[in-house]
Amino acid sequence: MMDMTEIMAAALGFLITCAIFSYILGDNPLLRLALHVLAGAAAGYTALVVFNTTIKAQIYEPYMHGSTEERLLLGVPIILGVLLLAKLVPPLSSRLIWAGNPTLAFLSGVGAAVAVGGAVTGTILPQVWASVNVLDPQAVMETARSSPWSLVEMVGNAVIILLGTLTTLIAFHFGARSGQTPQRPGWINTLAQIGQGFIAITLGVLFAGVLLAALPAMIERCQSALEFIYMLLGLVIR
Amino acid sequence: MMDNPQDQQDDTPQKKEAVPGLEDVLPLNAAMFEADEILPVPFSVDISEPQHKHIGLLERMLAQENEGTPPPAQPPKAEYHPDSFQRFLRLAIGLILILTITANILYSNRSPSAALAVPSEIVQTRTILRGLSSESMVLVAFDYEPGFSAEMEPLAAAVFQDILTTQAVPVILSTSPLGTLQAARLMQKIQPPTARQPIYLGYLPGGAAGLMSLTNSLRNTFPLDVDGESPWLPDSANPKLQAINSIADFAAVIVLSADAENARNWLEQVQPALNKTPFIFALSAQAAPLIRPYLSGNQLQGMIGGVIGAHAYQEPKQPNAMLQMTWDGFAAGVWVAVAFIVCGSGISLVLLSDPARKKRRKQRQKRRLP
Repeated sequence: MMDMTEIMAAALGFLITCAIFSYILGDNPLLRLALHVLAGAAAGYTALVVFNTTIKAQIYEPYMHGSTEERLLLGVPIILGVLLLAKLVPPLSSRLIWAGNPTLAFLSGVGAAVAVGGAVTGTILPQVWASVNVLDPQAVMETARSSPWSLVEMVGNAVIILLGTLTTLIAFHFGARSGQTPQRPGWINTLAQIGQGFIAITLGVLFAGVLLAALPAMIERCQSALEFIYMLLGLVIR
Repeated sequence: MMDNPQDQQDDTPQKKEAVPGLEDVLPLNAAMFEADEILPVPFSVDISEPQHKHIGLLERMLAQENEGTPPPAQPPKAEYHPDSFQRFLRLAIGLILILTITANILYSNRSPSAALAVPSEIVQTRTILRGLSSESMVLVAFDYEPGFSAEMEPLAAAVFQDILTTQAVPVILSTSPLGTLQAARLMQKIQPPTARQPIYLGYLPGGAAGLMSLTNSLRNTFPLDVDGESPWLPDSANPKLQAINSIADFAAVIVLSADAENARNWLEQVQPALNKTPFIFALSAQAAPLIRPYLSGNQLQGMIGGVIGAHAYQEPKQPNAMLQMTWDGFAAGVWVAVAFIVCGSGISLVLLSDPARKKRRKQRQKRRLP
């Protein structure tokens, strides 16, 4: 038998689901109320998690129980964090607003360095290498020996990858020499149109992915609404 | 900046800087906007004939700016209103989708559906996960938001079914503050009482920088678990964690993610440090196509994408109950969506080939061109 808390939770879920589904009638206050409730609940929980796992676990506990060296090292994030608060309350600290700049500069610098380093070693180099390997003659010969159909598939894939990469890059080429009319040569235009086809297919795939990701959410909400209605009917009948 | 007397009179941040807090990035010097006269340009300019025409056009446009323009005429009531048509379409599509899915949930017989062809990456994932032992520690990242739980939970359940069967110990973390909650919710649903309890390391802040820290120093990144205890001490609840010093010491690393950007962060920051540890992704259908090139480049050892991937992963003889509940409605919803796309494309093609519409479109384009 369900207790009162479960019934209340199911009712709340049902009401919020109905409010979100009301978007098919257009933007309305019910929808906005539901969105604000969801955003507020998520923000509140996030604040609690961040406090417990970051401020308490990474700052407070080590500061209280750590050695002198550890406490001194913790001074750096504490000072930077406090300085960042100057950005949060400009009316109170209009003269000190610059104090948060070193923290922002540190965050931007570290963020950019990590992102660029990761992109080079984790994406650009391995992906370039993988694209080159697709056309590796030794691999092609080995595949040909194992099965002719695999060879056809491999070569087909390689041609599509090569054509897609080149024509998509060409689609974004808008250069023209000085003194000439600002128009792309005919052959570049043709290749760019093929590239636009590849871009359209990619966008179509992304759209299909978003649709496939959203459908289960809709199914789950319909299922939960039906379960709530069944539960209500069961209560009324009893 | 404070040396300027004007600043001392009015020192609000908006007056001092164009962007508050970012001093000198965009200096807002009041003198720049108080010039009474335009200084003559001390050089001559060669202007071509087309440039002359453009200047004339610009001057005419500027002159017309000052002339009063009559308000646009209201369209007659009987004319086509795109907004109301869009609203009707949204209502029709929404209702048809909801009714189809609801009818499918009500009348589905939950019979086992036909087995799908199993792609090689899913076979690899199965082989790796079923090769784990009770001594194995598996790092699992729950990197999806609650909005994606309907899609990701069946996927995660399919993966965890194998991990729990082999009695391997999952070590759970998340780069999303809500991730640990998602993991606990899933475990409550699927974990049998006899299975090994997972270790919850908790939330990893910092995005890409946090992942880099995890790669460089696992123990310092997580000094405490979600219960506030140190999981690395010999007398902790899981002494097997003593053998784990770096991320490469895990038997496998599994990332459950709904966001391609987040998955890419894992690939860029963590994958290069894994050596021979298998790296597996279970992704939402919207992220899977963007991460597939990494699988082809052998940066991933296994991947499952979306509900379709989870359906292909599960054994037909042991269907995943959570997935089975979603699958029937999912198949019906996909058919309806495909029907809408095909019908919509057909109608658009017919409308585009209509000569009267073609003429109107050409006239509109002509009006736009000078």
